Amino acid sequence: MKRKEALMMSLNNANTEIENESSTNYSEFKVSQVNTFDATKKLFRFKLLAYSGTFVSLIGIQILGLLFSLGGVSMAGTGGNNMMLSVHNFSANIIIVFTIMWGFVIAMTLTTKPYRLADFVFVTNRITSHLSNIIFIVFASIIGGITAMLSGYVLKVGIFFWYGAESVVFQPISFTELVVGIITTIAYVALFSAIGYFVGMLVQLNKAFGVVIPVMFIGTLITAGRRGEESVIYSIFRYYVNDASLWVFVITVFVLCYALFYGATILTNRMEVRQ
Amino acid sequence: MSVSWGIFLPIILIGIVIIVVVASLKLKTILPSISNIRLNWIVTLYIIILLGAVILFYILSAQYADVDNSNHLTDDEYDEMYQEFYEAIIDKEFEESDYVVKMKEWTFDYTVSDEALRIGLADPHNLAFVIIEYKDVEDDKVDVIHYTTPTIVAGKDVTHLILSPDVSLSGNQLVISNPPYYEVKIASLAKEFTIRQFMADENKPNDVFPWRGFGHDDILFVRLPKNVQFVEDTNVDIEVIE
Repeated sequence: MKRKEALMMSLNNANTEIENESSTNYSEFKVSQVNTFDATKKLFRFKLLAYSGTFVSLIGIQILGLLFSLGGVSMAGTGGNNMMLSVHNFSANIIIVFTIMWGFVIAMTLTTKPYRLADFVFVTNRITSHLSNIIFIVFASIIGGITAMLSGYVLKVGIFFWYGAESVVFQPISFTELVVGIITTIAYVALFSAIGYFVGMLVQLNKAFGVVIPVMFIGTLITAGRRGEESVIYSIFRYYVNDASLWVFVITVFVLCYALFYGATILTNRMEVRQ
Repeated sequence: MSVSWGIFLPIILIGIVIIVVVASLKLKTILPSISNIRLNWIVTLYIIILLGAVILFYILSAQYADVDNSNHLTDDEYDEMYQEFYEAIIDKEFEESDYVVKMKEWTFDYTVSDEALRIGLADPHNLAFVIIEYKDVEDDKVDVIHYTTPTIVAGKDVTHLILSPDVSLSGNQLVISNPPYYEVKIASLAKEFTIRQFMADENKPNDVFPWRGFGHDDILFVRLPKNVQFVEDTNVDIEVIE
């Protein structure tokens, strides 16, 4: 209860900041029609201010991923003649995976009751609430994707100085490769955020999904592990990883995100107002 | 029916992420003194660090990226390299071959006696391959040269990190001491999976086995005065060339 009050206080502060900037004179009572675009824009700006902790958590997650990456993302070694040669590969892979999971968790958090109720501080309806959430998720995915790729450079520069120039093998990254990496990372973060948003809405619709979905997820992993096969989840992921063309991948992710966000919107039609 | 603990890794990682995210989201409620302005400073500082690292990476990359991916060999080419290394030593074409790297050389004064020169290893568990060439002169000097194949990791030559054995001559004993066990650690700054997924280059080494020439075939090339006789220990493989 205390947490909810604190969140509402934080939201009200953000709301006040936006209202101060607005030219609308609230002292004068008038009936006005707020269009969807303006309401969504206002809600999005409000969320940027109110949920600034999201970006602090992104920094925290990426620093954590960086620490996990210090031992290398993979290692290969061989030996002979009293000598062991080991090659440690360093990249931002773990940071990217952590950022993807961050997107999933953040999107799920937005579907929880305190966050949904916060939208009703404004003149809003479900559509504007969803639209602002989607824009916020896409914005967070872009920030997450860019920073995840760039944090790989922090890791690599650190490793360079740790190992010394003579023991470091550079694989130069061209500008095109950097751009492709950023686009792909954004797409992954957005996709998993959309999944998180959809799953979050499912759980809000029926709490039983909160048990069923994790059980299904863990169950497929265990079952596949016992059979020595790859899980369905991994098969789906591999399908994307093996996808040949960047643009086919991006378009597929866009279509999937659209379907998941649309599905989440449809799901809330079955909910009571302010539920 | 055992379950690999590895399958729980994603669950543990998701747990860690949830804890960090939830803790960060509650940051403002735990520490109300942290205003949006302070958060902006944290974010700005992080962005500056990221951009600084990018600039530094490209400066370092321009200076140190001496990777030659054409060095990457297939399994058949490995065998060919070892064969060419051996043949180049036998034919004394040290300079002509790309696969012969001169690591270290020693010259010892040696007075011929009635006893033959004994060539052996300090550690009897080790092995050594020695090629002996007789000089045309009786100069009372024993020359030893250590040759190896190049060791190239992910296109970068790291042969200089390989240690040579220690060779000493005491009386009529030429003793070869392999270096104590050591590890050569190489850091490969690899590309992220989000880049490799669409920008894979078949000519570039993969991340799993990015070296070539490993095993660094060693040969000790010994030049003896023409009047010196020698005997070898059982674990020393010796070949005499003209």
